[in-house]
Amino acid sequence: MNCKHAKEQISLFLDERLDPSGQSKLNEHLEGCYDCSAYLDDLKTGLAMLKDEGMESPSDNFEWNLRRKLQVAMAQRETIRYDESGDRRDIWRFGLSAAAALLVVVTGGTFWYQSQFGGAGPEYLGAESTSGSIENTRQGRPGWVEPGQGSVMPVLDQSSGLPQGSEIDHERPQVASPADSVPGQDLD
Amino acid sequence: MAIHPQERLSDEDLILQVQEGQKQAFDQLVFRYKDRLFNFILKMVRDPDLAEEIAQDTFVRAYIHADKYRTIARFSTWLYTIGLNLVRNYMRRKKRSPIGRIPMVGRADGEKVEMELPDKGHEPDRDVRNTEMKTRVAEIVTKIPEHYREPFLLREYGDLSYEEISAATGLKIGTVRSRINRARSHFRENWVASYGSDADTLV
Repeated sequence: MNCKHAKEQISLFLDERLDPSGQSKLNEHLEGCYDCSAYLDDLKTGLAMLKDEGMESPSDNFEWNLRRKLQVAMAQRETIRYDESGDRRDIWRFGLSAAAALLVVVTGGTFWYQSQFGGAGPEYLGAESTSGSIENTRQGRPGWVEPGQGSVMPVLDQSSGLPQGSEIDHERPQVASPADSVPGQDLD
Repeated sequence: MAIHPQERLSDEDLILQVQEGQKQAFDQLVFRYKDRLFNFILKMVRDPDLAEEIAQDTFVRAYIHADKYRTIARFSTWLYTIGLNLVRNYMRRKKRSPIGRIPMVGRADGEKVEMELPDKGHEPDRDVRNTEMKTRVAEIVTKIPEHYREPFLLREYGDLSYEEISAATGLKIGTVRSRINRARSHFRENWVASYGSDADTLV
């Protein structure tokens, strides 16, 4: 073991990180090396002095000042929380407005669906189908073309522009708009 | 004299109590760590008033962010890591600032304050406390290069293990070991220059 390695081992020894084998080798070196022994002794003395004599105390006002800083920091934190809760209120307000708008659209759509096709409303809103299966609702409807027989769009009557087989009710407007189905609702 | 129940608790138990809202548990932690933390910071920044400011800021951050403490680390490691980060912030600002005027670390009240570097020859409030021995020890320590001094002081004042110093500084354990060894070598060299070697007294 050379002196450079011995000094590294001394540092580990001071931190109690040297295993018994390493400690034994270090002891052997120290017995024959005056410089390294003095190095260890100086470090022991100096580091003890550093922790004892070299320790300074903070001023008597330390805790008082700390308490004052803590009070200020806590007050700031509360302010930040208040601001954040204000932001959260805005988010809630926006969410509720969006939900109300969605409700109006869905309700309007339901009325429009009923005015167009009758029944309790679209099945996606939970209304039961009045005619059973989807096939039953489609089959027999005037102008309906089955898949494989052409376009999936209704076949329109050339003269009236309505699906073939429809009868014109002159008492009722022929084109229903969503606005018609929601009383007092101005969609514009 | 009766021992207060909190005096028996470990640091980790105390900070858990702080997390649960028992604010008085924090007083015990301040009592336990203020001197060592202050000395660690003082030996890094070499200015007692600034060291107090940074030590106080360290405690403020520990208190405000107590909910972020996890028991996977010792409380002391966590506290010294906060302190070390504040010291590093200060050092970075100091390097960027013109000589003689440095910005203070962020105060809890958010106020940015400029302060004069202390006059080394005149510190009226501390003249009484600063014995010659303390001053000389401080000088010896501050002569150690900064990058060696950091892990060295965490070891000597913080009593952190190599693994904890590695976690606090971001250095590898081998580097921590090597830097502590080199810091001790510098310390001993300066110590002998100031006080002479123990070996001299035997001759």
